[in-house]
Amino acid sequence: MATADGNAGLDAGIDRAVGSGDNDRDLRTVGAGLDALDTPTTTPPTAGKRLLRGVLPPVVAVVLFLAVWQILWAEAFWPEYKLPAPLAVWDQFWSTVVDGSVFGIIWTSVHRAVLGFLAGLAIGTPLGLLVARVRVIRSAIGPLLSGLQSLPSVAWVPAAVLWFGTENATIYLVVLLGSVPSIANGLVAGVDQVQPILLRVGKALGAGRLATTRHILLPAALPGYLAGLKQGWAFSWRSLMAAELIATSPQLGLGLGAYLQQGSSFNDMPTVLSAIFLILFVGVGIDLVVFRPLERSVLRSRGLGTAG
Amino acid sequence: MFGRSRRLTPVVAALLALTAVLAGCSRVDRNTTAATGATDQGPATEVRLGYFPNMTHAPAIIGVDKGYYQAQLGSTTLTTQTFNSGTDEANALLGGSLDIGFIGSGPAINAFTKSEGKIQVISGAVSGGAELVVEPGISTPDQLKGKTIATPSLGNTQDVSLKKWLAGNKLTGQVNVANMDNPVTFNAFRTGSVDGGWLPEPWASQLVLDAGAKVLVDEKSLWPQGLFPTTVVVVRTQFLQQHPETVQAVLKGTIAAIDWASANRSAAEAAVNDGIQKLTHQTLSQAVLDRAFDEITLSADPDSKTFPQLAQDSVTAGVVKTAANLKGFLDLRPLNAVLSQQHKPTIDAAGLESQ
Repeated sequence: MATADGNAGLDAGIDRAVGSGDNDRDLRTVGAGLDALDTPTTTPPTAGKRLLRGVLPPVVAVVLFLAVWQILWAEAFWPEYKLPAPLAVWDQFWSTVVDGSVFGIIWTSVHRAVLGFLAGLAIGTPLGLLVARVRVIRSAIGPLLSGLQSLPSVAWVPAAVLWFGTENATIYLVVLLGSVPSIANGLVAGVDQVQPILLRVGKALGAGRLATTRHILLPAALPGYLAGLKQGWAFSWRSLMAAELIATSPQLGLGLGAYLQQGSSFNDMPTVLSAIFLILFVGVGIDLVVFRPLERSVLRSRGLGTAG
Repeated sequence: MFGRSRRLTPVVAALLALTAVLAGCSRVDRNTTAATGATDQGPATEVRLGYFPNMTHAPAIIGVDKGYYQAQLGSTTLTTQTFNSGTDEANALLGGSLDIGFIGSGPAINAFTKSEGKIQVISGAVSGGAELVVEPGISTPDQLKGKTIATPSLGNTQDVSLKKWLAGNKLTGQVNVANMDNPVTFNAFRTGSVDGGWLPEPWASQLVLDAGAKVLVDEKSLWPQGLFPTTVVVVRTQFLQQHPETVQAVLKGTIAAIDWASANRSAAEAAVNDGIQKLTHQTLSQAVLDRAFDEITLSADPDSKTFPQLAQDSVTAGVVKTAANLKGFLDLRPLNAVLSQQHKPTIDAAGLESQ
């Protein structure tokens, strides 16, 4: 029968209120049992253990993956131009680091993706609000927005090239058309899932339409909105790669997609693979650095986060 | 005890992986001649042929459209595929979805190197037929600084020629090189998005005669006797070993197309025009066709002596890091067999054959 120290006051209170006797002992037993249920049974893991638990499995997974790749290469099942050694891919990547071109390549892609995503945010958020709150607009363009979300942005690239040529406007149009539907739909889903009682409370307290939106609707829709933002970012990144792969020109500079296309033009598999890994890591990196902490803090503030 | 084995498993897995990596540091050699195991299997059921809708691929267009290949192939099905440039075609050859291709010399060398000898040149097709055409205001190389010049694709034959010429004139990095499909370059030049192009025929002539461009460099002037291989015929070595009869049939068809075109010039021009129209929806004027035909030389001789220089040019152009070792690049035995049968002079491989 464990009793947490902090509940000594509770026992004292029960003694004063109830006195002693069989009934009181039963009550104290129940109280002690309830205390035991609420007491955490394990000590929270130290920061070191948490780091190990978080870092070791993915590192081992990566090492295993590299090992399998190395063995497949060593067994020469496929010619070198189809499956190069991991070291060849690393050498290609390292050569871009040594001559500094990798930073320019990543910056070209990332700044275009971020600008396009922010523009998508600025357009998608009011659009989502309108679609969610105004019934006429919802029935008019709601299905269209959902349809646009499932349309792959790569389908827009030929049209954009014919409209704008191989200029930055093409890239931004494709990124926008990828991100706006996701963000708008995320906001619509978030707003739809707000409990109606919250809106009624607002109305009872005298909130007008704008105040309701600002103080009740948007904060309550935040988890759904964040999910839409995360998906919008993923779609922006994907649309950007598709556009960069197809529309290459001196005016567009060398982004990750163009670097990948260059590898294909030179029939160079190490370049192709190093470009693919770079695209993967940058996309995952931004997701981990920007969206994961944001999501975790929002969920934790709603009491939806996992313990530890 | 249970907790300890759980902690140990990922460490053991990592150690195993490390030992596997160390053991896998050297590559097994599967290239023994016994292992290739490709023996003559008779005629193929299907032969997949690649070429471009260019005047520089006239033998292929004429051979396909006029039925010279079908006549020689008999029961073998001919499946054709067209490309804008050699880099895409090289990828298809490397990926195994093409058997024989008409391709530029630059991508041919690249495909040979990347495949470690499994793609070889078996014949020439066209020599000459590439020029640097620019807007009329440009008359010296230095005036190209800051301008945009088009080539059919990154790393293809004309792209390598342009970059090598720029390097020779100390213009590397000062001229923008744009890559675009040949039929698109005409409009891009007219609207001013590009200021010129290093283009194969007939697109160079189209820019000169229909868009007012002028020739700054004729590539013939850069080579001894004006001979350089613009188009060669390559084959997957495994296909050549398994179906030598089919490869010879394609070579016979190519030589027949070349002979016919050399003897019937106006009909040949019309045939190429039809072929290009079907493939690109662009029709060319008679003047363009005449000029383009004048620029090219149809011949089964691949100008073997020029390949070492071309391999070096790929390095200058930044397509590859080191010049390819071209031993085994050419296999002219099937071609010479056909030529001997027809009592024509055989062709020298300039030491690039594998024996």
